Amino acid sequence: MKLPTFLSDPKSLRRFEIGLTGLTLLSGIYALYMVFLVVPNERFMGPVQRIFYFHVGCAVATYCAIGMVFFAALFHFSNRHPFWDILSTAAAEVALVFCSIVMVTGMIWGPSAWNTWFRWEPRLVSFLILLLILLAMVLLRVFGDKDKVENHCAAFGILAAVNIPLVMFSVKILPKAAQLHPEVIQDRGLREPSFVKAMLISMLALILLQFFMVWVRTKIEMLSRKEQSL
Amino acid sequence: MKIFKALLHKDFAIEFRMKEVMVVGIAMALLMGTIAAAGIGSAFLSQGTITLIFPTLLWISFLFAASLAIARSFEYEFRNGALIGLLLSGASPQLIYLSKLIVNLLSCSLALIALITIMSVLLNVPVLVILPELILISLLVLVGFVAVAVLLVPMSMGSRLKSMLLPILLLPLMFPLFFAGLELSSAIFEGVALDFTSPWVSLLVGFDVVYVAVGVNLFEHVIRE
Repeated sequence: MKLPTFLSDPKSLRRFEIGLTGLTLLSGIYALYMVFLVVPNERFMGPVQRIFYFHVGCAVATYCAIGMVFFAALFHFSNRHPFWDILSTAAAEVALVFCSIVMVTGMIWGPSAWNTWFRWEPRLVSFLILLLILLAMVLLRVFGDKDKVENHCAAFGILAAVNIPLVMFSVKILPKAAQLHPEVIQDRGLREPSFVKAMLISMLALILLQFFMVWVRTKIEMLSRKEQSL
Repeated sequence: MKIFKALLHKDFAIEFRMKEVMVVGIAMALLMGTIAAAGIGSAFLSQGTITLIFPTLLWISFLFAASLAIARSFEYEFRNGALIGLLLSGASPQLIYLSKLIVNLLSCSLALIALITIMSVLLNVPVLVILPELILISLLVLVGFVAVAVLLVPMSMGSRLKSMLLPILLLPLMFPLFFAGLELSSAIFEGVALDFTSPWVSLLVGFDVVYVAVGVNLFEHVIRE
């Protein structure tokens, strides 16, 4: 399988892979060090607040992965190179994983703050819808029409990605009383400088991890298709 | 325009001869309405509570019935490569999509009318006083629903799961429309006049515009190999 020009040079591809792996590893270790050894316990919630660093980072990584699905789908329709379809598949799967992590970490945090695992709170519902859309996308890939699945997944990816800002907007419409999800950054809740630093580092680490996972999944899919064509 | 008229004529002819989407939609709506009403009836709820939950039952029953019925909308285009013949005849995919959208909008409207009638009669909820507002909200929800469904039906047709894949793809995308429709219809059932400046109306219109625009542009890629 031929890669697009910017990835077709084996030397630069190798450099890209080593660079991405190294950065992911370093930022991951630094983020873990910051979250577990540097950041002090939050006054009211105690150690459980540390889940916030993973929760927010994973949410941002989910958006990044969905953005990749969207652009890969657009590129697929513009030049029909199989690479874009593979990238879109990989990004959709990784987005589903990160979205699930966001839901699970939120549910772990929930009992300590709200005394319940899940509330019908607009932000939580919007992420639940996002999870279901991503699940539908992965199921479409698995069960879809074999001859047209690339086009179908790209079309569904665009439809899903367009849907997401609208879902987020619809959340804002709901009355403030219904919105229990903390707005930590908007409300300037991170007063201690190490909180901000840990959040930024963990966000960067998780975004890099998402890119790394998408790339690994892309390579696996490329090898699998190569094997099928032999 | 001539081609569009011919396509509309063809789609209406198929629908009126075969009556698949219409009949399945109306039959499912009647069944769902009866089941929901029987469930509520056996719970001995007060009339006020029934009126409060009426919009929820209405939209849940509609989404279920309509997503099953609309799966049949491309049945005859996919048989013996009729769709390829249609494309070769010079009809643009955009026009095929718009024609299907209009015909399915009509069929789903009939299913919704049947559902509202049976549920309001069985649950004794008066809808005549709020009918104009309910029709407007229903139309806004229906446009978005049919716009996405017509795009997704061809995806599910060739899949291993056949029409079972359609609700899996369709319902998550329908959630914001369902939610907005529910908020607006709950308000009118509580006696609040429909506020056209409400963000929910803007949201419904926004979704309709986006879904129709995306559907018109992507339909070609969905049906071609």
